[in-house]
Parts: sequence; C-alpha cells; structure tokens
Amino acid sequence: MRTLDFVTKELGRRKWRSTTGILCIILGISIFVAAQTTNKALYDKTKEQLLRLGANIIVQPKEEPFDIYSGLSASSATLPEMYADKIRSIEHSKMLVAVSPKLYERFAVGEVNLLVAGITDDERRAKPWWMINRMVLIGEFPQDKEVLLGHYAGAHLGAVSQIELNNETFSVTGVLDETGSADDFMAFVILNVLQDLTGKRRMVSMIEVSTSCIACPKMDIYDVANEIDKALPDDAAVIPIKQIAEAQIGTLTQIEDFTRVIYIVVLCLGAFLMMNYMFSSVSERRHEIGILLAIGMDAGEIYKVFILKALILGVVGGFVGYVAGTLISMVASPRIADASISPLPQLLPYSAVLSTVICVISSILPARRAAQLDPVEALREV
Amino acid sequence: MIEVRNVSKRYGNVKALEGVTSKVKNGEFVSIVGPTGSGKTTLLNIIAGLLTPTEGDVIVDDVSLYELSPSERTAFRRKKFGFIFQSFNLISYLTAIENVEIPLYLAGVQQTEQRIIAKRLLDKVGLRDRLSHLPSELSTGEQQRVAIARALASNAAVILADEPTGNLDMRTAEELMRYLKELNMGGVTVLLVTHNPQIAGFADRKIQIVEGRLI
Repeated sequence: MRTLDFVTKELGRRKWRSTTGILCIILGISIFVAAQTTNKALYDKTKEQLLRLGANIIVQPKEEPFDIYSGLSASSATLPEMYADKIRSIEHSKMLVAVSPKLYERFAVGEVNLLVAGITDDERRAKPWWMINRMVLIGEFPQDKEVLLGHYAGAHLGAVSQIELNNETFSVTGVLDETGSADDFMAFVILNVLQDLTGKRRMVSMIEVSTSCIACPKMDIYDVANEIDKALPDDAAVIPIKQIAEAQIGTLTQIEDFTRVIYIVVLCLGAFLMMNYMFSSVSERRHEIGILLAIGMDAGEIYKVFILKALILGVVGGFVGYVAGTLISMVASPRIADASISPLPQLLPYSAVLSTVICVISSILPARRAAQLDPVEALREV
Repeated sequence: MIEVRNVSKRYGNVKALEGVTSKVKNGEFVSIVGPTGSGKTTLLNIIAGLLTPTEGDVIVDDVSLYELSPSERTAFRRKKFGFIFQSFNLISYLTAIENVEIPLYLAGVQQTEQRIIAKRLLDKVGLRDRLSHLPSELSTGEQQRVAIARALASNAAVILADEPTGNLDMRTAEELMRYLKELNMGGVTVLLVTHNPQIAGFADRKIQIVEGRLI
C-alpha cells in the first residue's frame, strides 16, 4: 500500500461515484475550453469582417489633405509614391494587409465630371468585396488602357464600352456592383497610367493602409499609425480612421470581456461543483476515515489522501475537459456563430493547470474536515 | 501494563463512566462485560487513546496516554494496539491483502515487505485463497479473520476487540475466540468487550461495568 493507492483504488473500484466527481470538473473545463475556442474563432472572424470595412489608416499630404469622406473633390497636393515602400518596410509590416497608393484626378467625360482614381494591384487585396454581378473580379481589374467604373459612375455614363480621358481612349472592363462607398462615384485606372496622363509621375494623392491586428494581438492600429508616422517624412499626415479603429478595438474588447466573464463563471462553477463533490465524498467516507484514524493513520495523512485525489481528478478532468470542450465547440460553434473552429492545442496545458488548481483549492476545506473527524463519532456510523 | 486511573467520561449531564480504576497486566486476557449502554465501548475507546476522558488518565507501559499530543497518541496507538471491531470495519474498496497491508504501510514498512507479511498473516488465518477478494466478496467469518490479520499486522502487543463476535454465528464466534486465545497464549494482551457471557468465558478475568461503574 501507498498513499496513492487509497486514491487510485477508491477511484477505480467506485467507478460510478468517481465518474460523478470527475464530471463536475470536466463540465467546468469543457465549458472553459469551448468558450475559449469559440471566442477565438469569433475574434478572428470579427477581425476579418472589420477588415472588410476598408482602409483604417490614411496617409495624405499634410499641406492640403484630400477629402476622404466625400471623395468627390481632388486636391493638387501629392506625395511621392515611394512612401508606400517606406510603409511596407515598417517593423510590424506583417500587420499590413494592403498598402494602396492612389492618385485622383477629375476629367470631363461628355457631360459627366468624372473622378478617376489611379490604383495598383494592392487595391484588389484591400477591397476583396469589389464584385461585378456578385462575382469577384478576375479579368475586369483594369490593365494598361482600361478603366473600371464605379456603380453610379457607370450609371451616369450610360452603357459605354470605352471612354476618353485627356484624349486617350480607355476600354471599360466592367461596372462594379454598388459598394455604398465613394468608390461608387469613381472610375479606376492603373496608377502609372494616370500618373503619365496627368504628368504626376511617381506621385500619389493618398495611400490607403489596411491593417489587421491578428498577427500582433498586442498592438492596435494607433500603434501601427505611429510606426508609419515615424517612417515617413514630415510632409505626410498619417490618420487612423477613428470610427473604424474604435469599432475594431471596441468590438474586440467586448469579445475579450465576454470571454473573461465566462472564465470567471466557469471557474466559480467548477470550484463549487468540486467542493460539493469533495464534501459529499468526505461525508460518505466518514466511517472509513474513522477506521483509518483508529488504526493509526494521522490527520495529515488523511488530508494528503483527499488532496491527492483532488490532484488526480484535476489532471484527468483537465485533459478530458479539453477534448470535450474542443469537440463541443467544433459541433456547436458553426451552428451558433457561423464560425469555423480549429482546436487550440495551447489550451491543453492551461486546462490541466486550471483544472488541477480548482480541484485542489476547492478540496482544501473538505480535506481539512476529513482530517479533523472524531474517530469515535465516525466509527459509530455504519 | 495498562492502568486506568479514576477515569470518568461525561457527555453534558450524562455520565458514561464514573471513577473507573483498573489494571491489566501484559499477557492477560480480560473481558469487559456489561449490558448494552453500560460504558464498555467508551472504556475501550479511552484505553485506546481514541476518546479523551473528562477526568482521570490511562497509563500504558509507563506512558500517560492523554499527556501525549494527538499525533504522538496516534503514533503510540499505531505501534501498541491492534483493533478488531464488531462490524469488522474493513475498507470496502480494498482487497483482503490490501486491508492487512494498511497498518504495515502506516508503520513505514516497504511495499514488497508489506505484501510478504500480509500474505503470511492471511495464510495464518486460513485465507490464503481469498487474498484478492473485496470485503463484499467474503463471508462474515472471513471478513472477521481479515480484521484479525489486520490487527496482528502491526505486531501489536495489545489487541482491543469490541464485540468481535457480535455479527458472527456461534460456531464462527467460537472459532474466533479460540484464535484470540491462541494469540494470548503467544504473549499478546487481549482486551475484549462483550455482552455475551459465553464469549466472556474465554477470558482469564472479567471486568464488569454497570451504568458506568465497575462492580
């Protein structure tokens, strides 16, 4: 016999009772893991959706900024296009999803005063929601002497297959579906074509930067904006778009707060269930404790037996709870939150440690009660 | 030598024992007899160091039991006494051999040694074939024999038996008593609590208690 045998043999030979005990902690830990896994998926999904709101940092000439809200009036002030490269080489460049330099110029096309944006291939990454007839762009993205029309720009121009800009002919590759943004009123050509057309070589009106905090969870877009600001000369104004930034940070904070509340509730629930189980275990085993005390087991050893039991239940409960929680989230989350779930193996050690700590802490009082039992009283109970 | 000196035990206004004084010499077989509720088990528990008397003391081999700290008293009890109870009091989830190993484990005997001693003791009480049986798989007589083997495992100088035949049929009870007598012949002191005069007859001497007093 060893101290451990009093625990393992009791657990093994009272299987139904042991199962009840371990279920308490498995329940708590599986809820913890399911909540964590689901929230991580929701967190990632929310980030992706927020990203779709568009650029969250704008770099403009400090001297005469472009009106980013209406997007309908052009400015003559420009920035060197090479600033885009400087932005791409900041320390936390992995947070940059797209760096999209743009030049804006107005042209008279027949009766229509058309705002034309020169864009690069980065625009496709920054605006994955651009579609034509609900299909993502493939061949319609403009090349060389081609132009892509925004929804209302196309409506104003009528069904045209080509337009003239500064006496040069551009074929229309398509008309975008309505986006609900200033893009609906513009036409898009390749940046260097517009630069040649306007004589503004290697110059841009603004640079739109789309960031994602997924790669660096400890940073927000204000940190990225600061980093970009330091990387650029003084003539560039770096403006994080406040509404988007705050929505992004606010939503993610809410998810984190929600997760934290779940942790606390689960912690309390797990501890309460475990304490309850251990108290009832002490109560059921009073007679046995009385026998052991009578034949010479000291109170410290009795205490050790119960703490050891809590330790074993905690470790096993942590592992099983992790597996159960992951399975629950994989089954339930796609239905509840429309989020695809990946198991988080990094949660396994956390689950085991959390479960063990909960079990041991919540068993201290029951174990103490067991150790303080009066053997004569306990022996009277059969 | 076990010396009970003017021991009283009260529960509120209820007097369980009143001024009990007695001596049991080493190697004696003494039965404590009396009707139900007379205080026999209370006296045995006080002698075992399990129940602190309201007054008086118990001296075992020159050691004053109730001057020891609770943990010293537990250690003393572990070394000195073996227990046999009426309801056998085996640990239900441990096999016969594991139950016998408990006092050996408590005495710090190594695991392999525990197994050898426990096997030998169970063999001695005729349970060689029942080593791996749980108490629920044993007859009452077999359970009591496991309890005896457990009481002997710590090499106790004193066996304290509280109504050990209470749950046994007469034949098994007599068999048990003969076994206890045999142990006593080997030098073990036996203190037996019983209300059965026939069982008490196996002892060398009787101590009679009525309403908490020796008569």
